[in-house]
Amino acid sequence: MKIFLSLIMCLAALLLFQCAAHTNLEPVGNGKLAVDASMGGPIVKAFGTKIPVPYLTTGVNYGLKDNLDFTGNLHILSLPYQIFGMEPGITWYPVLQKGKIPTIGINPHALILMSLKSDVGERIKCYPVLSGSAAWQMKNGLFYTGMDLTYRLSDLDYNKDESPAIVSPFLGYQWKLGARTSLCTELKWHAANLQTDQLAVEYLGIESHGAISTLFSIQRSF
Amino acid sequence: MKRIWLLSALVLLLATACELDSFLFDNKEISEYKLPGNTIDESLLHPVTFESNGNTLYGYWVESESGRGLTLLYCHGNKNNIDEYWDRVMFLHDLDVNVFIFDYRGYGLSEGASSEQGLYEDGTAALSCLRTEYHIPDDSLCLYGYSLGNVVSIYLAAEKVNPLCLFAESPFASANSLTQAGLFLDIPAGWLTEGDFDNAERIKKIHTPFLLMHGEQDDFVRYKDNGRIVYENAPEPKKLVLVSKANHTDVPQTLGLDTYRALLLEWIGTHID
Repeated sequence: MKIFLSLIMCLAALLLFQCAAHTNLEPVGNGKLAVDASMGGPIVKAFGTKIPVPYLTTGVNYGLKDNLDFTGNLHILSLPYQIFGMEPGITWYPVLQKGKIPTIGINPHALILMSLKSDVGERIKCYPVLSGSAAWQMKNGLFYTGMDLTYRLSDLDYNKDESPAIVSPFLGYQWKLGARTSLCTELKWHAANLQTDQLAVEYLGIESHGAISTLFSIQRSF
Repeated sequence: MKRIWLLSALVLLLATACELDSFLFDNKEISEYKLPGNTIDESLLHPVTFESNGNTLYGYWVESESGRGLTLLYCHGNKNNIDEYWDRVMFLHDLDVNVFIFDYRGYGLSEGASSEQGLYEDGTAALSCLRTEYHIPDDSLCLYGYSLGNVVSIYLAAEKVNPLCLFAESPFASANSLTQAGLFLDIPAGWLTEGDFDNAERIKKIHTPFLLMHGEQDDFVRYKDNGRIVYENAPEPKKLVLVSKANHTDVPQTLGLDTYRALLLEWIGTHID
């Protein structure tokens, strides 16, 4: 039971953790557009080993100003559960790299989930998310680190003591594949502040906390 | 043409309509029961078949050694079939009670496909079989649920029968308690599962002494958002046995079989007229 439930719950969990959402590291430029596709998810214990569960999102960044982008992500693989997921927001870059000072990105956005089922009482859930990143230019790309902070606006029905804040630090490297194309490889520790060792889903955590996940995303600008 | 493909893919995704419910059932069909490690005298074992909404269900009626009148209806967990739980039958048979165990539809030799509604119908049919075939009065019947089996036993105690007592081992609060704990988000009931499997609500309706056993180290159905909720919602009289080192599958063994049996007998004895 645990194996199958783990796998299938992970597919659901991924969208809720915004697992495959692309990390915004640099402004795309005023009036310019970039699209991305991301695949990644938490590593779960199943079939006697540890496997990453793939999840797919697609996103778009549009430059509103030189240091301000509109960002939006769409969750594709949640649709079989009849859940539509999207993450609209903005990314502001108050600091651009100068020497050892990294490019700082601040990305307030909302995780909006909508059930497309007809027989559910509550149809829409919204979670505010604040993401921050710092990216350093390297020889052939960007090294970056940062954190997502997702906030639950109401208690869990069965565990009212659980923290409403979900903290997910990450680090990664963005590889430049050409003038307009880049590939991100990222490790994220989802829900690092929450205990995950006694759940139906067998996440790979650290010290019984959170879920380690891997992310690959490819971005192309126009 | 590309748009048509994209649209088709989108429609296909939506039409898939995944639910987590089926993953609560880890059933295994077989051609015969093996009753592994059985030490119960063959003369006391009686294979049983009965009907549940057009499906033939299979089970065993295990007579007590002394012909004692108490009967325990054992509602097993979600894994495989009766064979997986035969050691539990032997543990309980040592209490010198009759034990009735059956496979839900889709499990073991039982016909049909698993579903939440099927569990309720199969439990009701098993109860009916005990009443009509074995003439078991309600006041000498105890219900015992383990893990998923609590969905059946708590339903029966809440809706169909007022038994002598109800035992619950490692129950989950509801399908949504598992989902919310796994996702850390307050996803509403019904988004990811079709059924509610709501032990936490249904337990409020029982009118029978209730004993709950749960392992504190349960790494699947965590006590704090499952067993604790079921226990808090249950009316008096009730008793909680938290087993500090037990996981999901080993509460009796970790407790110690003698202690486990003594606990059950004491609870029955306290409430028997």
